[in-house]
Amino acid sequence: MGRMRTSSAVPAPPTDVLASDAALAARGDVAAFERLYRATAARVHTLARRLLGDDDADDATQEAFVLAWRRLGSFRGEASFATWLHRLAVNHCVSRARRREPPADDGAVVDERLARPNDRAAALDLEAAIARLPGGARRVFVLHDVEGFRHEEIASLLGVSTGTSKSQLHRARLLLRGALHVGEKP
Amino acid sequence: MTDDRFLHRLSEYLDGELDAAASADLERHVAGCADCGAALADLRALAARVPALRDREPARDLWPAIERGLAPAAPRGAVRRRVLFGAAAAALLVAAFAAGQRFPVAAAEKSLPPARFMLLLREPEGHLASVSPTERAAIIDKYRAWARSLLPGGTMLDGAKLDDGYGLSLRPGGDATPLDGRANGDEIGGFFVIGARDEAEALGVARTCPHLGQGGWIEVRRFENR
Repeated sequence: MGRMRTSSAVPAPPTDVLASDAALAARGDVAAFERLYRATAARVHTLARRLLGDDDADDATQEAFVLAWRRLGSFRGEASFATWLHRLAVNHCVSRARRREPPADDGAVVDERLARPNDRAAALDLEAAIARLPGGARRVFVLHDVEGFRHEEIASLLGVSTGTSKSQLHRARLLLRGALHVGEKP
Repeated sequence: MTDDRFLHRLSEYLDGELDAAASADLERHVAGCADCGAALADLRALAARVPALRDREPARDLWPAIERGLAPAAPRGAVRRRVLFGAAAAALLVAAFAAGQRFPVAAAEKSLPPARFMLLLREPEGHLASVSPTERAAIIDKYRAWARSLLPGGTMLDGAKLDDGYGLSLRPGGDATPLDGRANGDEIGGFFVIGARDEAEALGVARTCPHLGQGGWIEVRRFENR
């Protein structure tokens, strides 16, 4: 599975604290689970927002945590709790996206704003530019470049071929290049 | 001049997915092609910006909604703090439970009840107001023992004592006014939440509740969502 990105504006709590609360939550301790939520909500919500967009991020985050609660019994501690939760959240968001959209949208219309090389406002905000990518390209870019998944994993998650994953990634990067005009100093 | 054959392979090149021969081929082309060279530099610059992306907290607190979603499937038996009570439990005893007593609920995970019912404990206003502290403690013990007996099988899921003598009534367009037990006929002294297969089982459990022997009656309600 993909590596978990660690950079965050929200300081990550010590792993042993998460592990301790995960053990308590696995025995049904809601207060411990709330602490886990507080410690990891930003990571999960950001992932959901990038994969699904602003409108669905809250619902997807809530569902992911409820799912995590129900599945805590299967958390054996082989991975860290954060990694386990991250994996579960990715699967949930992707599954939600697949229910909402067809698996591949190679033919999706490209947002014209993305192809405009001198969009200086967008150049300041990679996050906003990612949000405006077409769904399929956005998810591949987020999973590959941000979350560190391999194409084989992405293909399996999204139900597309490895070739499609690669072409979507390249397409996303070129669109972002146009949107951000990354070669230009802001 | 840009050559699409190479432009389309820039990502694979950057990601180290081209074999040595293809990489060398692309490098030779990029060295002599300003457009592809610029594109490659831009893609590298883009990659360099990704690690600076930051996580952001949700705009609103999602925990209340999440917590509401936990109750139906508390899979390992709710170890959430359960406060047991009697119809007019003394604050001291309630506090003793709230202070950290947990219940042995390991057996609850063996079989999840398909439905949840709320037992609303209704009683005449102040109906235990005249009993002595000793009698009140004895009554409370009956409730506690009853609730405890239902914990191991996962039947007892929750319970709380409502504060005697405190209650507000809030209606549209009006101020909150103290609840008037006399006007309402009775008041709710507390509640239990139980898991049961069906109505018959829930009623069977409710019939054993000591509340019925203490001058109160029980309103049995079923949870709509599971």
